[in-house]
Amino acid sequence: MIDFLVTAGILVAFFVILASGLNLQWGLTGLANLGPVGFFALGSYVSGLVMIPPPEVTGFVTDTFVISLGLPWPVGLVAALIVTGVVATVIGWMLLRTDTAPLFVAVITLAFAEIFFLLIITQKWLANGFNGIRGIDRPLGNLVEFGTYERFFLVVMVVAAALVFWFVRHVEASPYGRVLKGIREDPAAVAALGHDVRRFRISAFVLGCLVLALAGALWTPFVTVVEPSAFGTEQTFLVWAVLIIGGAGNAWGPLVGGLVIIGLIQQGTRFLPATGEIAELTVRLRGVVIGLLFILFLRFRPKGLVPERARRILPEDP
Amino acid sequence: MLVLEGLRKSFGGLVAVDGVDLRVLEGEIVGLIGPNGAGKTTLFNCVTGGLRPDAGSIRLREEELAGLRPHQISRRGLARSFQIPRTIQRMTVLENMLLGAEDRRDTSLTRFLVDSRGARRRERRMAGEAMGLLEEFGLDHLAQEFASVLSGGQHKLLGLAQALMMHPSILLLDEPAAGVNPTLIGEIVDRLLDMRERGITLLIIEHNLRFLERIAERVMVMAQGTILTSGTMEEIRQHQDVLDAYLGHPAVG
Repeated sequence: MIDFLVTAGILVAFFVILASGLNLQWGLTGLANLGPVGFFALGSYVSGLVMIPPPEVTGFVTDTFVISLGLPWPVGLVAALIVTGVVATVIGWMLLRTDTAPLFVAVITLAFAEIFFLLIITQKWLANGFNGIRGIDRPLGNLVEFGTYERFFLVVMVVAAALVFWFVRHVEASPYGRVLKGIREDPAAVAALGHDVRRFRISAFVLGCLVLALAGALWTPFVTVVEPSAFGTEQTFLVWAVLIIGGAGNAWGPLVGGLVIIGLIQQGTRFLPATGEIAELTVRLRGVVIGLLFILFLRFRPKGLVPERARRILPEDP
Repeated sequence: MLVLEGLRKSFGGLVAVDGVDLRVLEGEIVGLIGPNGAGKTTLFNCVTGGLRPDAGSIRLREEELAGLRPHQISRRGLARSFQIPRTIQRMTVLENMLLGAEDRRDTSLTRFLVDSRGARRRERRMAGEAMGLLEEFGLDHLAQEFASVLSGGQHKLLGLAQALMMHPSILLLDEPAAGVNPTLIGEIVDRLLDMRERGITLLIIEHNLRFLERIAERVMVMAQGTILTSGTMEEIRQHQDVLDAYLGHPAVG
């Protein structure tokens, strides 16, 4: 039971981070990233490649990696953020002009995720194709007892999610965030008010991608395996569902969405009486229920469970 | 102050602005009239950077603006209002005002994360200035409401107040009186005259000639992409080309 809650907590924190990254892009800036899973995977793969020791050390001698450095986790994390930062900047720079139609952002980011996925599975020399990266060491694995590692990792994830939450709160309540919200509604008007729309859009896109990659780099050492099957399109859908149902455009949305969608529905349903046919049914219906909720929210409550609120600024007497 | 020379802009085969020469002097209130499709808004969009002119020059106090991007132009002191008000709906009226005031330094995220207290202080100071302006425009009681609650006319007023937050030296207004009730028109006239008192030069596109009559010192008539003539409202009314192109018959206006 406790182990179950720990796993659920890890997954909730994980999706809170992912949805917060998407919130910076879609919720605040109106950039419809349909490939969050691609940036998540990129962070995961880069950190994995930096952390994995060469195949002769792991024992999987047929594995092939473009690099295998066997370095500690913090190095993998930093490398993941740098590479994702560069990739996101290039994509953003090519894609995000002042008059970019939202549809193109959706199409190109979706294409990025698909291309990345195809590269990984067809180019075995890159990251061992379908079999993925196996044999990554858990950080501090020799200090934390094996049986309690999940609890330790839960603490790490909750701290990371709290930091991301704090960051998005600050962005949202800053003049920077105000410009982003303006761009979301009317880029041309914001440009006329003297703001470089392109620069803001690119920076918000890159920041969001960095948060997504952070989630990836946290995921790698926990599961110790990075394999293509973990990065399916359904993950993109789940991140979007968490953000939209929770409420886009404010930092609380992803938090509430993560608790409800991942904690209550995806993980919580595991506690339902699980015998025979019912057990099978709950597993099958889980995705359907989330999908239905997603549609119902889009139709009847697009603001989500926690709607964006007006920000009150106390003016100084002139 | 603002000098356009040989400005041209075409969309495919359609020449929307066809070699416009125009000069606005410091402190002037100039009206720009012309039938629909004359190229007035295209001209505005070229000057404010939304469109890149095909040829010609746009100089603001001797500085070339052609080829600059919209935010660069507005940072040089040339602000605009839109035909349909473009205030941000899901943001408070006060925040809309701040959006116009904040420069690159204020909106830097790193600066905010490093010194959020200082940033908040600056924000409150600007909010104080914004409240003063909102009071003048009769919008102060709505400062903390979402802009979506404003009426059409109030949006127009907010657009003007927002432009003032940028401390412009020249303001381009696209139909400030369109769709506004007569009482509010009086209000807008007063505000525009105030702006001139502050030393702001105004270039105004407007179809409402009675409105222009009350404020514009000089009126230019645009038709088929060129400036037909320019002069005081009285002189314009006498002009046969204008009557043909636009007014139709002398009783209009």
